[in-house]
Amino acid sequence: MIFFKRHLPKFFLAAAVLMLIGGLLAGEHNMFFTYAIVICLNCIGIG
Amino acid sequence: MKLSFYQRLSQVCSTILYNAYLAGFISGSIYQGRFKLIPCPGFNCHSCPGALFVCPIGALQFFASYGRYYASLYIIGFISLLGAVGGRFICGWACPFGFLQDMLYKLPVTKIRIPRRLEYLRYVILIGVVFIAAAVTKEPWFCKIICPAGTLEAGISLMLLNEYLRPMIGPVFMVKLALLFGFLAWMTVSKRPFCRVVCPLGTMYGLCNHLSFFKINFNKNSCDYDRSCVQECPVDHRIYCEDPNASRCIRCLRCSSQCHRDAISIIGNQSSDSSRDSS
Repeated sequence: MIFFKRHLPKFFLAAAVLMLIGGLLAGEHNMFFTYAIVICLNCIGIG
Repeated sequence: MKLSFYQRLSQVCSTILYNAYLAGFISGSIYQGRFKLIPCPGFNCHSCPGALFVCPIGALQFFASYGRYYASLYIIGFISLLGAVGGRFICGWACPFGFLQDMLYKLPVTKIRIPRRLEYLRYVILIGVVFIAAAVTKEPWFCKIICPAGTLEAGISLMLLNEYLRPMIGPVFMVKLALLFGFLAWMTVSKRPFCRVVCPLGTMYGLCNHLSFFKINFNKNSCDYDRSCVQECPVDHRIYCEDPNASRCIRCLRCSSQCHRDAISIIGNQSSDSSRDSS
């Protein structure tokens, strides 16, 4: 438990990197790309 | 030079970097290149004509309302990665909306403190509005109604620049405009109200404050309790009697530069262990 607490930031960093890689491998960045390159009507208040 | 100068410099540079597509401000359109594959570390609307990066909160809501995906590993991983390094430091050093709030608070008007209980609202907005409401109703309610950054950066600028969008102005735009002016007025009288009460991105970074490599260390034996750190703090955090790494802290380090007895310092993970061991 002490070991886990001591190295918690490292575990958290590793988990963050794994999530990021997992998302990239799943192609999530391509999924929202189509959403990101058009004007969001909700954001500007006319959606 | 003082730390506040470097903080302002970092805030100005990040604001320019996030909105570096200057052609958009002339044509009234938005950037459509490959940088839009990358989430923006700070709170910046991706429909702003100059925005280079995608808004992480907008992308999270897109995934929440997508159907198969309720949470994006890519976006949460990206936010967690920045949070794992320095917690909420992006809020203090590289957020355009935080910069706007710091500037507006300098206006010489009567100041009002934000009640501590109101700060819990940001968790309700993050979980209730950004995730649950978007997943249930398939609508990005945070962007649609609440987000003042969208109205300020995208709504107003695109309405001025793009003649095809102008006839589409309706009651929702008016509601968003009223909310924006409400927030702007609040920013002049209170310290960073949006960061403390609403911002879902800052809330996610704040959850990482205790898990980050770099932490704030407070030495109570060195403190003379003159409260100069609280006066300087942009989020009214009382570091001398509260958790130094509370989710409220935006890691701007103003308190440490203000403290003339060096009671507040920034420490790495290993040194935090050793200091705890020694005390």
